[in-house]
This record gives sequence, C-alpha cells and structure tokens, in this order.
Amino acid sequence: MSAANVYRAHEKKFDAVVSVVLGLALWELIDSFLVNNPLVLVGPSRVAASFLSLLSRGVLARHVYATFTEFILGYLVGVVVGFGVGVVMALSRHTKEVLGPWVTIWYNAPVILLAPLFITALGLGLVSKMAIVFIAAVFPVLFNTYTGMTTVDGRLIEAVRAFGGTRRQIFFKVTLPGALPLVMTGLRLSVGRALVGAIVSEFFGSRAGLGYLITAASEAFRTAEAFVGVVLLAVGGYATFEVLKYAERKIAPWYQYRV
Amino acid sequence: MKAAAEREPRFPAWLGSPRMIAACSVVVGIGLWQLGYEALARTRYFKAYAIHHFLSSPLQVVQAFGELYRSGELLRHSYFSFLEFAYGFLLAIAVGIPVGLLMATVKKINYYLDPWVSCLYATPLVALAPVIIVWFGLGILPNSLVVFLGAVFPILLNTYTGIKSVKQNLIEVVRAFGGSRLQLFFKVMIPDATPAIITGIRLAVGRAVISVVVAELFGAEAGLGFMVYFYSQRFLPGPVFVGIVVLVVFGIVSFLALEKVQGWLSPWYAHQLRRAAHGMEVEQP
Repeated sequence: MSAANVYRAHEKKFDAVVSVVLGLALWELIDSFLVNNPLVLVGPSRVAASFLSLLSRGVLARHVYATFTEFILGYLVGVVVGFGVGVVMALSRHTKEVLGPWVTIWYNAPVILLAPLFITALGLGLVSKMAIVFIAAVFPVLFNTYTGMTTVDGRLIEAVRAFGGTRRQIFFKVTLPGALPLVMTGLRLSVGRALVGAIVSEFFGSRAGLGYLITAASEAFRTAEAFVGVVLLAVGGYATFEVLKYAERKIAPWYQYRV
Repeated sequence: MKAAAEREPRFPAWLGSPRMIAACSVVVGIGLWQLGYEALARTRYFKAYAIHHFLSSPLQVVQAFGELYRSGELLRHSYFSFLEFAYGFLLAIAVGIPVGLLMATVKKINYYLDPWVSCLYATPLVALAPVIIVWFGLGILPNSLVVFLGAVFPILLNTYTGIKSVKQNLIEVVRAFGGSRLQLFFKVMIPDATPAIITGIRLAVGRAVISVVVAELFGAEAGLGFMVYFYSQRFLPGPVFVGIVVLVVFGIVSFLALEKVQGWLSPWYAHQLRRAAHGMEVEQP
C-alpha cells in the first residue's frame, strides 16, 4: 500500500491528530511569542509543567480523589433513584400526574443555586457536594426513563399481549429493553450535569477538589494550575462520555441515534 | 346502557383532568412545605441547627419576593442576567449553526474540528468561569462568554446531526429532477434539519441559564446569581429561593416557547416531538 492509500484509509484519525498537534503548537506559539505573560495565557508546556509539579507534590491526587468521590457517589444514588421513580411514573398514571409537575419544575431549575444553602446546611465536606450532584443527576435519568418507557412501540406490546404475555413479561421483555436507549441517553446527560454540580459546589466552599483547585489557583493568578484542573475535567468528562457511548452501543445495538 | 347512565361520576370531569391534578399537586406540595416548616420551627432542632439560615418557607419566599420587587432590586438583577444570557446565547446561535453546517457539509472541516468539538462538549466548561473572570474582569462581557461556551456546543452538534441525518431519498429526488446544490441545501437540508437545530437550542437554554448563574456567583456586580450568592452569604435563604423561582419560570417559559416555534417551523415533526422533546440529546453518529 502506498502512503497515499494509507492516508486515505485513516484520513479521519490522521486529520484529528494533525488538528490537535497544530492547535497545541499554535497555542504554545501565541503564548511564548505574542502574549508571554503567565498571568494571562498559559501554553501547553506551562500547563504540563504545572501538572507535573502538582502531581509530584501529591496535591493533585488529593483533589482528583475528592471530586471523584463526590461525583461518583452522588451520581450513582441519582441514577438509582431517577431510574426507579421514572419506572414507577411510567407504570402508574396517578403517580405520574401527581409527581409530573414537580419533576418538570426541578428538571428546569438551575439547582446549582442551591449549592450555597446546601453548604450552609451540610457543611464543607463530602455530603453537601454529594447532595448537589445527586439533585443535578437525578432528573435527566428520571425524565428519560419515563419517556423511554412510555414511547415504546405500542404494536410490540400488543403483539406480546396477543400471544398471551403477562404484564410482567411485557415489562421485562418489551418496555424495559425498549426504554434502554433513552435511559442510557439520560445517564450520559446526567454525567455533564453532575460534573458541573460537583465543580460549582466546590467553588463555593470546600477544602479539596478540582473546583477548589481551579478557584484557589485563579484567585492567586496561578493560571497554569487552574488550567490543569480544567484539562483534567475535560479528560474525565470525555472518558466517561465515551465509556457510556460504548456501553450504549453494546446494550442497545439496535438503536440508532435519531433526531 | 341503563347501568352506565345510573353510575353517576363521583366528581365532575374537570376535577379529574390532568391539568387540575397537576395544579393540585403543586398547591398541596407548597402547603406541605409550609406546614413542614412550621412544624420544624416548633421543635428544638430548629434553633440547634440554625435551620432558618438555610431553609425558608413559601410565605417567607413570597415576602422576600415582595421586598426585592419593591426595592427594584429584583428587576435590576434580572435585567443584568437577561442581558448576559441574551448576548451569550445569540452569539452561540450565530456561531453554532454556521459551524455545524460547515462541519456537516465539508468533510475536511469536520475531520479537523471534530476532536476539539467533542472534547469541549464533554467538558464542564463553567469550570473556566474563574479563569475567564481573571482575564476579562467583572461585568457583562466575561459572563456572556461563559454563557456562550455553555450554549454553543449543543447547538453546533445538533445542527451537525440534523444535516447529517437528512433523508437520503429526499436528496436523491431533488438531484434526479436537476436541483442545484443551493436548492438542495435550502429546500431540503435546512428544512429537514430545523427540528434538530431547535432541539439543540432548547437544550442550550438550560445550560445557558446555569452558566449565567455560575458566572455571576463568581464575579459580578449584579445579576440573579450575584443576588443569590449575596443573600446566602448573609444566611438569608428567602431571596435564594426567589432567584430559583424566577429562573425556573424563565426556563419553563422559554422551553414552551421554543416548542411552539418548533411546531410552527416544522409542523410535520409534531409526531416525533414527544421523544425528542424531553431532554433527549442528539449525539454525533
């Protein structure tokens, strides 16, 4: 195979690498020749140096661990509760009618605003952040579970019923698998919201965490350190996103993204 | 027939309508909140845990609303927040839709931008708020930028996906009848992608509202986020809830308004709306 053929076969990946390398190089050049002021702009090399220094001092591990714990605990509780309530709302019309308006309200509410109150109530530690992450994560899962279960193709349910399927069979063999793609979408949407919840509640009051690192660093004009925090969040967010996307493809391969 | 006529309904029909139940649920919920608060206020835990520093009752929220409204504070803060929201959001639409169109139509641009877009989309960009405020100072500009960052990617990605998932047979029909590329673009691709684009805009509203608030909590001289932070630092939860209520109303109203717009622009889409409407995010294929 000639070089041109190899390029054509992997054009997308190749271009992605070129784009990232070019972008980082441009950033570095602007930093060192045009601006050259570490208070304002920090190039990739400064961010990398800062990363290594934070890492070697053991500071970074502490911050990452704090944010990760808040995120994962709040998120898991949010997913379990959101899925459970979503299923109950889809199965029982009365529950749906009573809880529906509240879910709509909370789904649209910028719950982040509650962060200062939660910190006043629950302290600077893990619990207040977990609570914020939970509230941020629960509603997308709930909404998508509900929508997924109620929009399953009615013909499938009728077919199962026609062949004498019980209600339980309909639930486990049709409604639940039919809802899975949307449930997974909800899980993915929740990741973003939950991360924002964790970070922003750390902005307000905390003793550790990536949000704490970012504010403390930017208030001290150590912009490079702040960028280390942002880059780590980007990596974490992207990785979780990709893992869930992969899981989605494995769990519900028949589902194609549609608008 | 007779049996059916004899069975009088226990309630008039309108009392059992979903709307009525929803209204009752909200009223009862607020009532329970008030009662719960009153009951809590009578226990010794109330003082011991200083509950009035972080919890408020509906009556107190209404009172706080009245005070903030009369002093003109609420309007001033809402005005600033709205300006920041509007600037950032319009910029996000002005950038997101064209870039999405370009990425969907020019393969090379897609290949080059895709790694950046997918990475930035997954990043909680409000984390940049402190840095942006260090760069640009306090005021409307940095906060609008944070809003822009929060809102642009859902719009961009939904535009991209909308154009990419235009039905191939429609394109082929236009080509077969000798339609030009411009005609193809304006008569098929844009109309077919409109519902997706508006879904993107609707998703972006929520993110933009959060961005406004976070940017203001951080550094601002006015705005609803600033108001909330100011009062929460003084242990007055009433105004905090006022801020939340105002933003919830704004979020729901804009959500419903965009749903209407979606209905006008693409009426054929109504039957698909149900699935797409409920916060279902569109993903790059």
